[in-house]
Amino acid sequence: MTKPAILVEGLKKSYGNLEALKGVDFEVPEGTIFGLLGPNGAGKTTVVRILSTIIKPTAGRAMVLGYDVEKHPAEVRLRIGLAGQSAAVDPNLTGRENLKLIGTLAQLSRSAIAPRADELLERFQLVEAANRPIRTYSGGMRRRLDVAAALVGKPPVIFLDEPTTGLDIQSRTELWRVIEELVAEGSTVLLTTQYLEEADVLADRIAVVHGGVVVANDTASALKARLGSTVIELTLKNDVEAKRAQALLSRLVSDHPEHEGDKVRLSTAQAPKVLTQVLRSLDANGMSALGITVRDPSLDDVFLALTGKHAEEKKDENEAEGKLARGRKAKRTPAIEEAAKAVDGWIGGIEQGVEPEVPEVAAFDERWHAVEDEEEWETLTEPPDGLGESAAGRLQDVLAQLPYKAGSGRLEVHLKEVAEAALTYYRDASSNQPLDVRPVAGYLGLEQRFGRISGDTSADQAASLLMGAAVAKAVGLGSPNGPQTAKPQSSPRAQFGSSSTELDKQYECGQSRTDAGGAAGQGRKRP
Amino acid sequence: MLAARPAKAGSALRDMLAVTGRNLTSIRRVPQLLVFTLIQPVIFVVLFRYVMGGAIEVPGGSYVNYLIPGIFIQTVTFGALQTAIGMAADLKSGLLERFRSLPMSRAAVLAGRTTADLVRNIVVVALIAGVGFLVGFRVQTSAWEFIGGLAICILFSYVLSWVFATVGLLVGDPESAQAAAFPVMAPFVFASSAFVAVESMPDWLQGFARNQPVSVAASAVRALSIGQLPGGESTSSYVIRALLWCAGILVVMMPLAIARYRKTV
Repeated sequence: MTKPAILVEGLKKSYGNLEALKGVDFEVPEGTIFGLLGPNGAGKTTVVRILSTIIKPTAGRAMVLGYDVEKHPAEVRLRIGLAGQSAAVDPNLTGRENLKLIGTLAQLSRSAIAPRADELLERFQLVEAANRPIRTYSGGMRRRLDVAAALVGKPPVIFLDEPTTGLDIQSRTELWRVIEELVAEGSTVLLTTQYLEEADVLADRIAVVHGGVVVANDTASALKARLGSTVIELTLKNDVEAKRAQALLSRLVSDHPEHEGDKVRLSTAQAPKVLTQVLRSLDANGMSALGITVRDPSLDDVFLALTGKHAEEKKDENEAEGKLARGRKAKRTPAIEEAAKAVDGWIGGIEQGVEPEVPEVAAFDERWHAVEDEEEWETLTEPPDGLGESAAGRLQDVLAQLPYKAGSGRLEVHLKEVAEAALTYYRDASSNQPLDVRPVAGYLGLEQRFGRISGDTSADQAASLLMGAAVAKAVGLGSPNGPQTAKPQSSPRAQFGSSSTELDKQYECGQSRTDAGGAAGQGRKRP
Repeated sequence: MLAARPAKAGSALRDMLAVTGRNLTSIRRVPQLLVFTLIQPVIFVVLFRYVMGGAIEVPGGSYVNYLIPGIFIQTVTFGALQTAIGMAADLKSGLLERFRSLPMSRAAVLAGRTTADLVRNIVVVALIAGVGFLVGFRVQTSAWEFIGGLAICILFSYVLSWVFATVGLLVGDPESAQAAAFPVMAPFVFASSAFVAVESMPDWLQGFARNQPVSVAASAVRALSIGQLPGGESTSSYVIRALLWCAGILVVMMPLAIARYRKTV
């Protein structure tokens, strides 16, 4: 029966409240290279530190060649070598001295130490530098010595913790060659890396670690097949065109293209063919790419593809946006649901006297267009009358940071900032001032929408109104194709149609909870 | 099949010697550290012997004879900082993690560090003795008693290296170790009998200054070098108290340092 060289089951590690590992499982057959792939802070090094008996797990089990790292650490230590991030060499000793020191501490017999050191120096091309202190070594030489140090005791299991991070390509390739040789000799290697390419080149199997859990565990080729092997990234004139291109290109590839700013990203297994189609299709629709990047998938792409749930949600949002942008019917998308729910909770909190926080809603990260021209911008930057001091200051701060570009004819407002301003206003109002929400509503170009707000509207109602407005803007009114005016002639009221009056009545009655949720969801009722 | 053989009890000594050797090589490779360790006591000697010495009255008359035994203790006390710095540097660099992953004796790292520092202190004390003789210090007792005094000084330094190894592990980086250790050391070194007679201090300070370990060790070395001072305690009283302090600190700090080492890495 062949036992796995490394077996990890339900491994957990917490530092205080921080859960570095939330239950990691994997096993590594003897004589293979296993890659732990993940960004900084994913928990890769924690796994290595537990397996090399440096720290103890909080829960779960880790075995090396059949020995439990907690119960038989001495047996484990005799069988492992550690190199990389979490193990160092002495910079003041020469390369040879370091290897001999570790040879002694790895319990090699006296006569075996010097020959082993020489053998490794030769193999890692460090013979010339052997008698120089490590501090005079280049980064690549130092890493090679580091890996050599892990091998001194001829351990059957080797941990390489980000062995090539920070190395230039040549040093990296050299190190890869050595690692491949190790396995050819029958060693088992656990390699952690941030580089997909590295895991791809070296590892027989890859576990992708993210946030202390394994999100995928597969062969390199299977992972890449799941990714689509090549990423094509197009830069367009602006984000409006990028959105158009995204919609256009979604017909060409099976995986929905991602859109981010003025960039559209798609992944495909048939890059040459798809690229030609993409360019033709853009051309035929009167668009052209300002820049094209064709590359292998990065770690980012892997996470985008593997933490698929998140990517799916994003897709829905983009679809909804695209439809709104083209003036089609708004439908109740998951993004709208999310926003409506968040605002509901927010208002519920206010009603119960909880200190409210601006909810984390994806829609709030969208921008909408608030003013048409510079003149309007100038009237906007005047603080409105009747606004409490801190609220006025906060709103001014928000506006001062808005990315208004003179001459571009529009102002983009970040909805999250609007929500925050609303919140500040709410706090200010509820603490000392009798509330008049109108200045703020006018200030934000929402006067028409909330024309019926009176001077004695309560603080929580006002806050909910502003939040509702923000959500309404996010899901229904933010029209990326045409700038939205500050005092819209085609008012939001018109967009909300007949239901608007009803809504306003509800606001008057102070049924704020239903209001904001309703405001977000109103679009659904449109014919 | 394993190239390495399992760790046996006998190999603990081999591990300790290997780590000691590594630490000594490190000291040799960075001679600046040793030089600065030595410059400081020389400055103190010059400062107290020639600048302030004339204004300081001590029992027994000769200030240089009073001063040099104090300088021995002051030097090894401040020098113990190197133990903290070395330990913290190894912790920070990740060398201790590598050691932890090796099938070596768990005690070897601390034992190797303190042993290397013991060797370093023997060299330092010998050099200070040379400086002392150069500025006019003369042994008033026998050569054997003087060597006994130096032995107490070196024992004291060894005890301190366990204290500061713990400090180094606690603090975890060399700069902080340096910053953290000085304010702790200064009152012990200066509110002591190392440079001035305790009798010259205010009453409220005398109790501490007379009995704290740096003072007792300095007085013991002094008594063994120049004999009992007029109105002072007997030589054997100082020596016994110094040895008790050393034993007491060692008994407390050794397990603390080891526990900390097991926990830290």
